[in-house]
Amino acid sequence: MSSFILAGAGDSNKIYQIGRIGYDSGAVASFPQDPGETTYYGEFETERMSPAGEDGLVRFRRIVLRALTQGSWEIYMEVFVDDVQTKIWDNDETSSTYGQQINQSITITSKEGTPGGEAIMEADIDATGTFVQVFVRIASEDIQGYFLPESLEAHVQAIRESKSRSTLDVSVAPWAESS
Amino acid sequence: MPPLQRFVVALAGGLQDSKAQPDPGDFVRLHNFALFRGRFGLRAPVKEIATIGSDSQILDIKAYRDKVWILGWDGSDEVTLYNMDWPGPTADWGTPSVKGVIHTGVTSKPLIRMTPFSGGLEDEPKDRIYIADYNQVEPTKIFQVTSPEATSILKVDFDADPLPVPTAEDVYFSLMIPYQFHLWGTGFYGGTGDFRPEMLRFSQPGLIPNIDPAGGVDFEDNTPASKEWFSFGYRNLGRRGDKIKALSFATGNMMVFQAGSAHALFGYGQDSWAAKQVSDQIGCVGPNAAVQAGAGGMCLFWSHDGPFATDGTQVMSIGEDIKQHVIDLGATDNVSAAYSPDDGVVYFSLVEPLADKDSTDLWPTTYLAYDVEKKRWAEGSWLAGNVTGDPFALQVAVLSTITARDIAAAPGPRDKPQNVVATAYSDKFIQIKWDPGDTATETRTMIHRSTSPTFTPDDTTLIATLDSDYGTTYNDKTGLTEVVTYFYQLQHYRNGTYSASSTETSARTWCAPPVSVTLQPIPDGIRVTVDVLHNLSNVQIWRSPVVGLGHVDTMLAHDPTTPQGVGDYVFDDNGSNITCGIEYHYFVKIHDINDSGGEHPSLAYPDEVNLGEKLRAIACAGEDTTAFAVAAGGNYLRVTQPGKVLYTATCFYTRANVESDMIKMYVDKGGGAGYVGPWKFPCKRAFGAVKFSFTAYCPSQSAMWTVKWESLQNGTKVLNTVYNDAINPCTGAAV
Repeated sequence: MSSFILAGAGDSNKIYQIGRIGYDSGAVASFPQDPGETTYYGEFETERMSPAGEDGLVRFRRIVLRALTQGSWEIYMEVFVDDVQTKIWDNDETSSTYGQQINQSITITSKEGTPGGEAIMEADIDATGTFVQVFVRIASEDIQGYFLPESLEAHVQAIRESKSRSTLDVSVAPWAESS
Repeated sequence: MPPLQRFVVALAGGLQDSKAQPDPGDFVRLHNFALFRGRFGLRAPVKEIATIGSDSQILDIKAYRDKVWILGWDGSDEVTLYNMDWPGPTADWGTPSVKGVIHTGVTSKPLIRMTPFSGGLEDEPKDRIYIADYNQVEPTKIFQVTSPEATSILKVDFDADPLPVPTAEDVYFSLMIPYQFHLWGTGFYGGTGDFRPEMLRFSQPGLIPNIDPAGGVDFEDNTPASKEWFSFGYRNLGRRGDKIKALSFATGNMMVFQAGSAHALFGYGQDSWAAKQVSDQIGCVGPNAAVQAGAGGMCLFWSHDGPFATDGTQVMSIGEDIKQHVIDLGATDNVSAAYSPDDGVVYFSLVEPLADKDSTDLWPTTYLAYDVEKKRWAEGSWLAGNVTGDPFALQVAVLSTITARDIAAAPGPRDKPQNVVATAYSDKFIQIKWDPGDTATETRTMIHRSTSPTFTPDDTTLIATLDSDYGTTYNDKTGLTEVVTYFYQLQHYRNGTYSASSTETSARTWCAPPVSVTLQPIPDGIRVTVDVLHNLSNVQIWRSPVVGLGHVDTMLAHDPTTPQGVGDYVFDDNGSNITCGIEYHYFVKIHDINDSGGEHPSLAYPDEVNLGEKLRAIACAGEDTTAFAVAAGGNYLRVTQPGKVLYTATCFYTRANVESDMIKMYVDKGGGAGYVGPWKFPCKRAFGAVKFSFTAYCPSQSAMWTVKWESLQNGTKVLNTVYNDAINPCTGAAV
């Protein structure tokens, strides 16, 4: 071990070592959580991305997060299309909103005993709009070892091409590929 | 239904304010993630590794000389220095221990920082931690680090006195930094109202004292001033009174920041220092807010306009993508920056958004992490909750990067002294021998002595410091007393570091020798008188024939249990083994009967040369009364000894078994004149009888003569013979 970052507290007599990404991450024995077994949350939120251009129309069907992991994991995801969170039908008979559409809170969990490696997490959505924004949250206690997101994709069907941005025919857009 | 098509929403990226044309690599929120090798990853936890005393605030953390040093403030009075062990491959962090109270009476929150510096000469290393108060309220202190640390000291005086006067005055540096093997300090405080916060002072290279050309005398010994800091060793930057806010490095330059300007200083010595202004608008907010990103790299710092980078030539904004965060987070003097070489990330700790940033009581609770290679940002906060479910953000007083490079020091001794042996040779002399554990020319050997076993070496036990060319034998002749066991431990010292102590060895001094040992011939032998000093000692008396006859020592007297007490101990050597007319040596051993340390010669045996004549005596009053035949021949006197033959070849006088090569004759002619002579007769000319011839005495000579002769071997008297009868040399008539 060649270097450390230490933090001295301004309000106590404690000295802390800042763990290193990838080495000390993810509930390893030497670095279980923040002090006091405090869970923290990694969160990211994408820009508003418009697959078919800023005035195109797209049907969003799937959000795929690919990550390099070291063990089991669990993520929480929310998807917003045109600033509106995607909806699902509430099929929980005990819920007060049973039979109604509710915001779609997506939790994806690895299978038990996941050995790690590249994991693909797919969120099934169905919403139509121009742009999409994805919010992902990971609780530090829900991962083992490192958790390195690599790419986040939307799987879409183009309904109407953009007029203002002329090349956004999704079938020929340079950053879009058929799947 | 057309097939689903893939559209990349986000790649590994960094934190960005919203942009007109979004990039898939951008996030509008990226919390508790950081860039990591081309990806971004969930940050690692933080870990509490130590607590120091009951202090309420950590002021600074630095790595130096195999330790991590911590400065803490108790919230009302004392600033204390601690250190703890650096973790090894298997060991974890050590436990902080107090090294000294640096300041007392500190009632308000200080901003005191440490600056380690290694300088000095080979035989006088100066491994120091300078402790300076950014606000120039407390004087600068020096902690001299040595190994073992027990000998480290806190230097109260500081000879950086800018005036050539023979006093050691307190100096109030604001910031300090080493650059080009000079130590630099900022600010000058000459008393109330006399501030020069824009001043930079620099030491002599390596803190090696030199005669100050400005004159003056040294405050310690009143000699011409030999100072580590010269009176004229300073530079000014910027307008008068513009405080220097931070010091750092950038691509070989020393960066000097004021609130609204940045300067790059370079050169190799006092004749070549030069500074250029890199920016007249961008400065740094505080002493902990500038950091060099890697060895020889750029300097990243936090200004009132957010984060910037400089290479010493130009200042570049790196905060454009996070401008909103910069405005939200704000900046105070409390901003602290640190670079993680492993992650390639610079962390800036900042006061959290929406907090009252003007309050001096606020500590940063949020960090912004900047990936130096990818030039991307992330943000987050560390939690320091001590109750599950009730986390709160860690309030950061200081971030500090410590690397193995900081820990490294010049090599110490390779090993401790080996095979240490102590041997006593008298009551005041113990000899120590050893094999060196390190043969480097700069390695010195420290000899420690104590009367207590398993002692801990320190300044009070040190009796000698030996250079490497001294050898491997030391004669300890100072401060020893009789019949005391002394314990010795040896250490090597090299480059300011001590080795472990050698295996302890010991030796017990002998009894003090008697004041005098006197010999007195008695009719049947020799009387030995010993003046005994040691009350509990008994006495051994040893005897041997004169040199040359095999030198077989014989112990004559020894009572192993009964002390003789102080005073004269008398022993008459008149046993059957002594032969009259023979010269004997004597020596004495003293032995404390309560001491298991063995016997102790009073004189250095077998150093016979120094025994002295007083320890030699001829038995039986020195006389041989054997009859001689003396005859007068008219004008001569003939002396013969019947039955005894002087052999020409060997000069062996058989009677006393004494070998001799010379005979001296003396004659007392009466009348009270005493003996005259000698007449010398080499044994080569020996006869069956020895004949003496005299002239012109017979007609007038009537007195009786007495004859004495001596046998000598190599010039030393070995036999003394007296003819007691008197004879008239002219008539031969006996009286």
